[in-house]
Amino acid sequence: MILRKKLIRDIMGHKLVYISCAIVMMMGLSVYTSMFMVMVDLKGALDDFYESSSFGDGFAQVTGIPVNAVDSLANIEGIERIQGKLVKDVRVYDSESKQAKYIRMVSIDSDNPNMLNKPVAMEGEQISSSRDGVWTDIKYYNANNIKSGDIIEVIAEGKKTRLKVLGGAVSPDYVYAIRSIEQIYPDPLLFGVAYIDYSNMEGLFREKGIYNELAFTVKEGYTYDDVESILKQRLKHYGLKGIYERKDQVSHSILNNEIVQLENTAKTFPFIFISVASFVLYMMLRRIVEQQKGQIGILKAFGYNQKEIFMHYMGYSLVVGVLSGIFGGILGFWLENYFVEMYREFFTFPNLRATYPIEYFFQANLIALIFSLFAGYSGTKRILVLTPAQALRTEVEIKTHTIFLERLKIVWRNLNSLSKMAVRNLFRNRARSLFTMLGMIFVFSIVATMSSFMTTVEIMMDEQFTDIQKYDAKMSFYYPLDAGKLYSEIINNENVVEAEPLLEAPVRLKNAWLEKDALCIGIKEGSRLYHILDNKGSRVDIKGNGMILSERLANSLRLKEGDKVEIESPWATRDTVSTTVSGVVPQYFGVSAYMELGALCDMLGHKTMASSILMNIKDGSFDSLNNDYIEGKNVSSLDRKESVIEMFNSLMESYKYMQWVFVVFGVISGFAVVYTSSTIIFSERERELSSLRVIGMTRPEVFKIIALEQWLIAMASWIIGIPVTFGLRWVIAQGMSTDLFTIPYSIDLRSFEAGLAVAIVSVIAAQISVYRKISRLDMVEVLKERE
Amino acid sequence: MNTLIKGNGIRKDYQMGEVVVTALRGVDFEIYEGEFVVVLGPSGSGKSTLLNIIGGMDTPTGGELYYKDELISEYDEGALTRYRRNSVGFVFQFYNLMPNLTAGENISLSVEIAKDPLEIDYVLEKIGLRDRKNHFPAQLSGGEQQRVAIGRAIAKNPELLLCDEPTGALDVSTGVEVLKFLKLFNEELGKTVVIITHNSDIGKMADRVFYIRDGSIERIAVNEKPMKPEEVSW
Repeated sequence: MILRKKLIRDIMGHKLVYISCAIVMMMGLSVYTSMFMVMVDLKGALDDFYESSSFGDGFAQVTGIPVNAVDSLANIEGIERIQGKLVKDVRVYDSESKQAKYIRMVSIDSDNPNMLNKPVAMEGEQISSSRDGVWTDIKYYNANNIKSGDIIEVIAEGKKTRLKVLGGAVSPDYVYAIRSIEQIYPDPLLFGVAYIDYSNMEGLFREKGIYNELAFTVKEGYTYDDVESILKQRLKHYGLKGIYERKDQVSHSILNNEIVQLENTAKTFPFIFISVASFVLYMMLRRIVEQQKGQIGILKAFGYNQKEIFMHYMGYSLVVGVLSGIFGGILGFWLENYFVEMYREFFTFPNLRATYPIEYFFQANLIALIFSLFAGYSGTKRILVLTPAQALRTEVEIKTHTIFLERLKIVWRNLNSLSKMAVRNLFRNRARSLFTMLGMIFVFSIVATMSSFMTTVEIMMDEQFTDIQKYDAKMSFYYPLDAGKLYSEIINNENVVEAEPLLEAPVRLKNAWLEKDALCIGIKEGSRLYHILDNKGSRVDIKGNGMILSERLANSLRLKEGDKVEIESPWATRDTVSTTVSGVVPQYFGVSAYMELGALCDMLGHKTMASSILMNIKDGSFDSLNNDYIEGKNVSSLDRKESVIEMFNSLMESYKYMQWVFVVFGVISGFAVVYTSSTIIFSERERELSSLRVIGMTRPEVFKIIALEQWLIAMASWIIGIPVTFGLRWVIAQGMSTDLFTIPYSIDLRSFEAGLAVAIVSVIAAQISVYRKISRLDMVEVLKERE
Repeated sequence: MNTLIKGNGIRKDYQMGEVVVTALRGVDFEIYEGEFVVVLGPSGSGKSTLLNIIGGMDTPTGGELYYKDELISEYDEGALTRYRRNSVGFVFQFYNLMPNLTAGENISLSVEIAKDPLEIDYVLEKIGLRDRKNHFPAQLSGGEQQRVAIGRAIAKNPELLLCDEPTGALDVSTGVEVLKFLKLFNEELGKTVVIITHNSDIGKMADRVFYIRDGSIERIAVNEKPMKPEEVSW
């Protein structure tokens, strides 16, 4: 009881250390709990939705397969269900919108209760109740303020068509709805999916009685690989464009990547904070126990047993553990809610919500207890084993050996006494100096890493949109068309200044047993509108018959310049063709290969074709261009580069707060480490510092001893922090790069400056508290006491 | 008189790096129940070591130590803790109070673990600090702090009170006050008190005085007529 009072008063006496320590631990635990909880929420919502909507195990895209041919595919061994649908991108006719809007029309078979990738209505009418209209995806529905019964106008096959919206829905293949991989983030204002009964959709397009996409499920006991080759063989006659399993489905793979990254972050990131907090706690307890050696002796002398004393001192860490566990857990619940809301911005599930799985709250508390008690145990065990007589005896532990710097006579001689004291102290308590340094390295490198990550993303975007994509607008077509004819048509438009054809051909690249699906981009030799850059940012000329690979593609196929690569393409007239790798270049978005347009078309066995036209247009002429081509029947989309950049920038703005969160985390952790270390130094040297005051030194002079020691450690930590930052960035570059993005491994100077600034602020903040302590130092009282 | 503590050939060696320092060279002694004993000797003579061993705060390197008929020199850590908890009270030269506990709470600290403790208020009354109960050590004078330390030691109601230079940090009049309390404890409650000091004047109020030098008991003197504490001066 009385010991509890002592505990509370001791803690109150050093409350800042305990509070900052608990906050650092709390931050780690809140990230831990919230991320795991969000993961459970996402996985749960995903599994439920996939299950109830019969999400396919595999998917295929073909030029066209007759409706009645699909049933025969169901006989393939291993296939459980296979269904076809017609999928077409159309432009939305919206005179009020300055930007082009697109809808992906997806046919549904509302009579089939076993429909694969079945949409679920979230607003308006139920899916099966009516055939006279469309259900747009719920995000598009909300973003465009659509109400049930509203009419949207689309341009299908060059004809303006009115569609009645029956409601808002979501299907498992468009949980993350983006038009193409290059779009990166969903923009529900400008792109949506519309589910429409097949019989209605058929009437809007020239193709009748065919599907262009297939989804299938695999029987139990079979895998996707068991059915892929035979299905591929059978679909070849229908112009197979691509076949892939669920893990490669765009929406699923992005979602899955997110979950994997979430899990990796949850498993590593919080433990950095928890470890820092445990270190601080360990250091503090070790000092408290050392400082209270006499008190421990007294308690022992009075008959308190080892366990009672041990429990008393463990109480210090227990308080931190319990408080940070509880508050970290509660904060985790709050963050879970916040993260779930954030995910709802990007992903659409009918049932994604915060479920507050309580087990993670308990796990967080358990982790907090284990770490804090371990820190407490390590910090206290040494002194607790002493006999009372040993504990009561004044330990004169003065290390008198010289430090290496003293051998550098010229340097040493030029130091004044205060500097000599600071430097000697630094080296004599190596463990603590090392720990303080580790803490400071952590602060510096975590801020620098995060800052550089954010800057890198900006640089990636900048390079992509300024140095690679040199065009203003891109017009894409439903099918590859004659490049020459397209060019002459477009270049004659009064708004177009410059135009170039581009072909994006789906290919499967092979090297021995390794293979990878990618897009091969055909660009004209000497292209002015699409540049390929090497890793130094210099332009690479594309010429001849060779193929340039992105680094990620080259690495996964283990190919290098000069190697032969085999190519399969649904567009090729021959089964397999091959060419030579003529270069390897970095690529941030997607995984592509590049060839000269003519050479690519030759290789595929066609005359020169283009799937898009890149254009530079006159200023302010986009709307006019849009009007000219909005009803063009071959035009699938017309994109203005600026709108992608604008969307990305607004997204980056919302990410900026994350940077600030890291800065705050960094400052608090840094403060905790430096403050604890300074407090300990101060308490250890209280007599020494008082003596200096007695002999006439000013407060700033006395402060200088502690400050100098800390700044020396800080400077060393910044130097070591540089390679550590490079290491962390490498881990991030490796861990976060996927087929969608490749995070480059580079750090800019500004990020180091940011790390330095945060580290300096945390050191200064901690030292202000120390200076206050020195100002309050009662030299007479301190010197009166027995040492 | 019954023997409370008996030491046979008590020896204590300390390993100081590569050097072995002998603090006690095989001392023999007996302390009786209800006795007031003063152990006199210069600094470094081994008197604090002797006190630590008698109090179970340290273990002898050789010899046997009995409390009543129990061989406490063979006790393990747990048994020694129980011995200190139930039978011994300590008073130190520098008070060693818990700085962040009040006078009353410092006394409670030993009351909470004792088998048959005295009332806290009774103890505060006896040491004359009832009105200082809620003061922290830093708010008390040296003499008052030492009285709290004595209060804390006697509150457990131990058989044996061991005092290491209890007046060492005090002026004469405050020191005499402290001695009065020790004598009070000895006479009123019939408890054994052992004081170690290098102040020979304090020896005048003892029933017996152990003279210790170089780790050996030189002689033991018996005071036929011990002085009253208020008659002692130095």
